[in-house]
Amino acid sequence: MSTVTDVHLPEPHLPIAITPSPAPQPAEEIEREHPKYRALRVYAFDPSRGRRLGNYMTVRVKWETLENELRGKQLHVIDYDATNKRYYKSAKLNSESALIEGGYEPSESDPRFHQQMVYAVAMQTIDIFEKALGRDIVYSFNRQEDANHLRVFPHAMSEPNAYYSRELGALLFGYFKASLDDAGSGLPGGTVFNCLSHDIVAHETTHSIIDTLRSSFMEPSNPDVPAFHEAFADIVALFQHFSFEDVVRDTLRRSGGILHRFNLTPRGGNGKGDSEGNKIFIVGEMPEGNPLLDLARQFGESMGRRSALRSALGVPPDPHALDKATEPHERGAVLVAAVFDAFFSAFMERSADLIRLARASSGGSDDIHPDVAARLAKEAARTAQHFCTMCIRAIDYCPPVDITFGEFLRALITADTMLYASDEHDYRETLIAAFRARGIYPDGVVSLAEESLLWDKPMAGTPVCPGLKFNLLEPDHHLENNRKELEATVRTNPFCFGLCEDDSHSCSTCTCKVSEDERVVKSVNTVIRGGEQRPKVEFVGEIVRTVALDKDHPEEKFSGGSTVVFDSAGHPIMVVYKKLSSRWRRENQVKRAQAAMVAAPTYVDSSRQMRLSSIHRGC
Amino acid sequence: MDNNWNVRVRMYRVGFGDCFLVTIAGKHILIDCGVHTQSEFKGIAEAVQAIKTATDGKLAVVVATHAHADHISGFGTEAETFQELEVGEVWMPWLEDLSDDVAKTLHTKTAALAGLLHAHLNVAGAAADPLVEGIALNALGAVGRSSTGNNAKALELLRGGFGDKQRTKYLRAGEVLQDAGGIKGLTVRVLAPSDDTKFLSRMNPPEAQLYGLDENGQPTIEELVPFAERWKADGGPLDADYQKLLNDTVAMPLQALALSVDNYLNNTSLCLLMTYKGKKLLFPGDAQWGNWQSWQNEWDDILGEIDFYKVGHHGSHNATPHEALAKMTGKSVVAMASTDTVKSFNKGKFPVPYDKLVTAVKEQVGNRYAQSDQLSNAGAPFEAEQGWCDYFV
Repeated sequence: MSTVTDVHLPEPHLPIAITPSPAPQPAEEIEREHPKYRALRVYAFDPSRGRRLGNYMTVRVKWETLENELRGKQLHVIDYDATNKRYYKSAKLNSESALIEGGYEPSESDPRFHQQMVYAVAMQTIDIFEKALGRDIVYSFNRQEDANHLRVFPHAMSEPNAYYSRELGALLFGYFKASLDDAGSGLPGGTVFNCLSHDIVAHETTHSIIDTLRSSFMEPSNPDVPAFHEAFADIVALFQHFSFEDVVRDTLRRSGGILHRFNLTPRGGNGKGDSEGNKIFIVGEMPEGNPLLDLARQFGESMGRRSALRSALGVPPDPHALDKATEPHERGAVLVAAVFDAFFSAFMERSADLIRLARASSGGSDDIHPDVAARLAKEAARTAQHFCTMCIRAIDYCPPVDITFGEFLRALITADTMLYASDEHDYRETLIAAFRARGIYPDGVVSLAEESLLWDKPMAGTPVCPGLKFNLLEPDHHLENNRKELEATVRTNPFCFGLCEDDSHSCSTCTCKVSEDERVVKSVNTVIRGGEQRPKVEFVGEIVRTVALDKDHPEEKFSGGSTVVFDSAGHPIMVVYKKLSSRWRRENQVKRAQAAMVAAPTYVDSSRQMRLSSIHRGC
Repeated sequence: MDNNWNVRVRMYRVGFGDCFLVTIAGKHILIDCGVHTQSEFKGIAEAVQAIKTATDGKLAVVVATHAHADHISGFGTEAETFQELEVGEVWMPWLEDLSDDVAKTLHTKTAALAGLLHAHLNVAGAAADPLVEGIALNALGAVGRSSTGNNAKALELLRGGFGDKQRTKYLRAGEVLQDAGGIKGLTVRVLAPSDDTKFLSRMNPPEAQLYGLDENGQPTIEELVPFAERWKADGGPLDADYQKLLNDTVAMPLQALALSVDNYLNNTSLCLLMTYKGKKLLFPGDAQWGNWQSWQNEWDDILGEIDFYKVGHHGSHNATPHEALAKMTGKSVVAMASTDTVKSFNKGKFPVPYDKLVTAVKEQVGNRYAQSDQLSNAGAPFEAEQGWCDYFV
């Protein structure tokens, strides 16, 4: 086992990113080898907001060498249009003018800007995950050539849609003509580009990353699984809004500090219009929707729907919401609402003093002092970053297959508790309350107290895995070694890792064998815990086995296994089981398979992997 | 066969299409008369001549279950012969009644979508998806890409009641016709299409605009190149295999649109339960799931007692719910499927007829199953002739 290198540990609640301290350099060589960031211009939302405050934004994207125009370490932007069977000219982001001016100027008619924007937003999304997890996102697709690049097609097709395709290892963005009758703030019949929607790009990129982290979450084994994929993609897209400083400040100033308010006071007046009949005659007096709460607004409006798509917080909390919602987006919206309820509640709690100050000085008007707005905006950005980071870290602690919303809550609480023993800002408390208000409960816990939500101790007799290694400077260095070590350990006792199909076995009586060609350990990630305590290193193993569902559904698969946390010496300390021996899970899945056959009344072999595109189609 | 029978069902071999003649007490009901333009075998002209002879030029009722070429083309191509026949009544689904506002809205929309698909074929040229092509041609009754289609002509004749509009009845679920078509003792129950809003909302095809149609339903597909010509590049980094996979993936929404048009038209199918002297015959047209679902609460009462089932949609994978099939437990229930090879359908994942469905039907009815493209295999209880096959109930 390697030793802990002396490193600077991050402050509490800040993303873990460990960079080796730079070697001292001679004074004459202070010039850096390469820049740290590449400045690129993007739309904060989408073109329909025009030049409105903050919509033209310059972001700083982690520097990387770009070869062949837009091919970096993880992304390859290819502007091929499969509907019209043609390529469009590529952006040259290494040209002198692009480097000096922050790339191309925002434009709907220049495809090079579109390429730049998808690159920038996808890179930022990847960066958010890498910072939260403390390791690189590594794509690995099933294709001969270039398997480690996510291909991004900003104009893949003429269709009101965008999707992540695992088969293609790609993000596909469509373009389409806006509705003629009702195009919202856009041009009726104008062309709408999904790749110019910040939200849509962040959403689809998140799908691809989750698929890299938990490939089994594409198997719709229970109604929460596809909904989770959708919800998480929305959560990551929405939290990015709170890093748009100008927009957040403006929103705070026009909502009296109430960030979650739906309508903002118009800039042009008090919004009361003609005082007698309260009629509004000029555009400047019309109330405006809160841009922070909208998702993919132009897309929704261009499809002829008045309200923006999937607004997360449109309804008061309903503890029976999940009973009614079956469609993935609808169900996912409940999870999104729970997370954002917690976020806004925490923000209000943290900034209550500032808001009181603001109200005292504003004399009853919504328009709060710019200095206070600036302070609040910082607070909002920081809180958003904390919540987003918490959600992302929780993925490592999710079950390997068949996730439910309740289990996500447990993963959230566990991940955060491992890092910060005390809940300084009451984030965990707030999250539990918000989930409860929407009827999201985990199965099999005695109460919703924090300690009952932590994952369980492993069953007695679970073997130790002494061969796990770590390297603080290069967390990915031992990936393959650790996977093999754990694979060997798991095979000594499949039952203890949830891989045994027979529920009459036990840890000591199980004689099941996992065949040689089955690879059951999907990943072992090294997690470095800074937090409040002394630094700790842990390993999280993702263990999955897939068998046929039952005799009547031989083509349907049934997966099970466990997520196991090991300490630095390889002792199992915590576990999430999704046992292959669970009759209840199997029966539920059989029922789902039967119901699916009735709903699609056919003799078709059902395809097991859901297509994210089919979820998006027509949304 | 002696005359000791109540009902005779005659299935003509027309190719991929339906043409059934039901004879009761010396009177005749013609249920559909059409063939798909891409069917390899086409026997519609011969069938219509045979019908003229067999009926002595008199049809009590003509039923057009839905407006697909493979069910109505004969009324267009053989219009002259039909003009010579004496027709008592014409039955069509209420969704073809253009004086009904709901029906008209849906009809206009679907027609525009079918037009879009057809226009797409010309834009796409040889690269057009065969499935989309098959569906577009069937919806219009068009023989090729440039032809305008024969369905309009057939529908004109049908809606016009073969010379007298008053003869045409538009039927909806819930109606019961006693002494139907003037045949004493014949009861016909209309099981579908329903006018329930829930059923209709599930039927509603997608917004045309999103697929490049203007407000008049005219295709704007050639304008959907999003950038000026100067932005076009000569080539790019994708290899041919990957490019093909991408092209195929992207072609799917057009397929999805095509399938939704196809499903819509199939789901407008009249589904009729005929009862005569205690014998029950089920003719579901090409009904797919939405149509079947709309009368699902009656399956238990009806399906166990039927003596005859016309296999829906030429034996495709998606037109006979297995739960429904499992309920057809009558001891002597007979099934007949009119079908043939259509290349565009057979290239896809689900060839028609679909072998798993055919197997399931055979398991349900035993050897009491006949298929129009395999008439030589039809033994007892069927009586096959050159060009048709009879079953006596």
